Amino acid sequence: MIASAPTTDDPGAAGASREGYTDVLALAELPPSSQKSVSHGFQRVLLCHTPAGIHAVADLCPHALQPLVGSEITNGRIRCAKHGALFDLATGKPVNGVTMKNLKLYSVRIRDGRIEIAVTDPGT
Amino acid sequence: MAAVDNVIRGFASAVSPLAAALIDADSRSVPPALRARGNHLPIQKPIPLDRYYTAEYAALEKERLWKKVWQFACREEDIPNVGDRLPYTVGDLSFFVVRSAAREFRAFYNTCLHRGTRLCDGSGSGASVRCPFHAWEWNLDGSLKNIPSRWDFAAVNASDYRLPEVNVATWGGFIFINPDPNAPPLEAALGVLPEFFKDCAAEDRFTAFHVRKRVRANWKVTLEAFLEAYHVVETHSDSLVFTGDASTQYDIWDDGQAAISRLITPLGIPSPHLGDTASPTAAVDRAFEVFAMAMPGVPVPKFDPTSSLSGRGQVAEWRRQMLGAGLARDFSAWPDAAMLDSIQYFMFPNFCPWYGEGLPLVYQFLPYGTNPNESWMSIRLTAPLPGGGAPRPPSAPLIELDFDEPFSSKPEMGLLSLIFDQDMSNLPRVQAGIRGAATGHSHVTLGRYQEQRIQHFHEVLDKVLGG
Repeated sequence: MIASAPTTDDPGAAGASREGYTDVLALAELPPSSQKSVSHGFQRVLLCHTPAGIHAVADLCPHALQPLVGSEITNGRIRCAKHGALFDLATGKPVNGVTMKNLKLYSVRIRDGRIEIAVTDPGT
Repeated sequence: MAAVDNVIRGFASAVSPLAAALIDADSRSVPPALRARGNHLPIQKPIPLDRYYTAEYAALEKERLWKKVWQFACREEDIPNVGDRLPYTVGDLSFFVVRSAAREFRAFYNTCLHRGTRLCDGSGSGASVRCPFHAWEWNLDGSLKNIPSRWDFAAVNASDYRLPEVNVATWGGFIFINPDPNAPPLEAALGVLPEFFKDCAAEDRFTAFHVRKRVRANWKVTLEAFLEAYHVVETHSDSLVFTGDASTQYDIWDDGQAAISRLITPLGIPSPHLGDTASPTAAVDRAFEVFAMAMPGVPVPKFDPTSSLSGRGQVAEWRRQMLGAGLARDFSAWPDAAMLDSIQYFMFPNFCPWYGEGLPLVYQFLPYGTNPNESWMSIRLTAPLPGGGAPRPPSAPLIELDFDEPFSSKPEMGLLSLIFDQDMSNLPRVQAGIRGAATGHSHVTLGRYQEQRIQHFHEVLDKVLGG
């Protein structure tokens, strides 16, 4: 789930996670068309600010398990800079067959100017 | 002692010395083993790819390698009580190792002498070995104990029906077997290992974590992926910040009987691939972070520019204190290299005991079943036995990972699971690429220095298989 505008979301809304949300970054530190890698426990998460809103995905391409940060985002898709795997940012689905594995997604909400993320249920 | 040849032995940068230079600068006195240099450089020759997938080559390995060499089977701690037994299966050969008396181990072919049933699956125990099919039973020393309806087997002479036994010997808490009745003693195959592990006794450790992964690649493909640090530049690109991959020192000791090799990859320095302006401070900070991941909740130090210790010295000293407190042991004399670095030995054909606390692992690589495109990799994480009179912790139970199960599905491994998943992601691609290679390029080409251990492995394998 992505937040398309700075707003407070109901954690019970569609796409809500099993676990609580974690504050990871000030929204002001993620201007439009930017991306930033943040820590979430032992994992790294890539926050992307696209025209469609804020996406949070694992900063780990499922192809060769390399960091995604720095990869190009166009039309809601991210192309891993390492070996070219292309993923839909909204669904995590692979698009071009470099890998058949999904990119892991996180739920996002904005609260009081802060970006918060949570692990998305596996079925989402 | 510099070798007089034209081989370039590693690549340093202005901020990332070679491993040997770091050992010279260690804050502690370093045991002779870590200063020792190899005595052998293999001849470079291309390695044909078909040995990684043909049934013929796998059959040759079964007859001339697995039935003939000393090979690591399990650890003494895995079978702590009299009667405990474990299978050791390599390809379609199988043996089982049993603690037959308090300080005695035996190993037998894992096949019932009645109709061929496999006798031992998994971690069992008992005063005897009994077949699950018709209950034929043997004592722990291999002598025949009982056959139901003994009257129906008048031709069976008990002395001819002892379980076929294979040689067993131990070193460092590791149990080795050798099915060849004419095998030389284990010491001949261990070579420099007993001497080099004197200061880090493997018998003084326990298995804290044990996982066995099925891989869609030949056992040699899987093994070779772990015999060099050359792959770090791409496969573990996120660790270049703090890993001296190109600074790695490689050494081979070959005396005609033992084939041992080693790599030392220093940690806490940037990769030389990052160039002369890479940040040594970032390398030290990242090393602190990575080692701290094994201790959640512990504050993570950063590089202290006012300290008289080098960056590596600071990380090493912090590790000495953390490990010392956690294990009630004294690491004060352990050199920085032994606290930080990846020091991995290899004993032909398939066994890698690591030295020190930098990355205390044990690797074992085996063919899996009858398909040469599949293998098993067993990984143990070991730790020194706790001090303070604490009892020996039990050897960790074996966790099995199937072909498509990643290490990350087992969170106990922490950051290591990502590293191994990165390695594993390559292997099926290697096996597939090998099988589809162009006719004129159906061979492996190896780096003279960084991949010498792979070249040497095949040099010895050729000798062993050539009869």
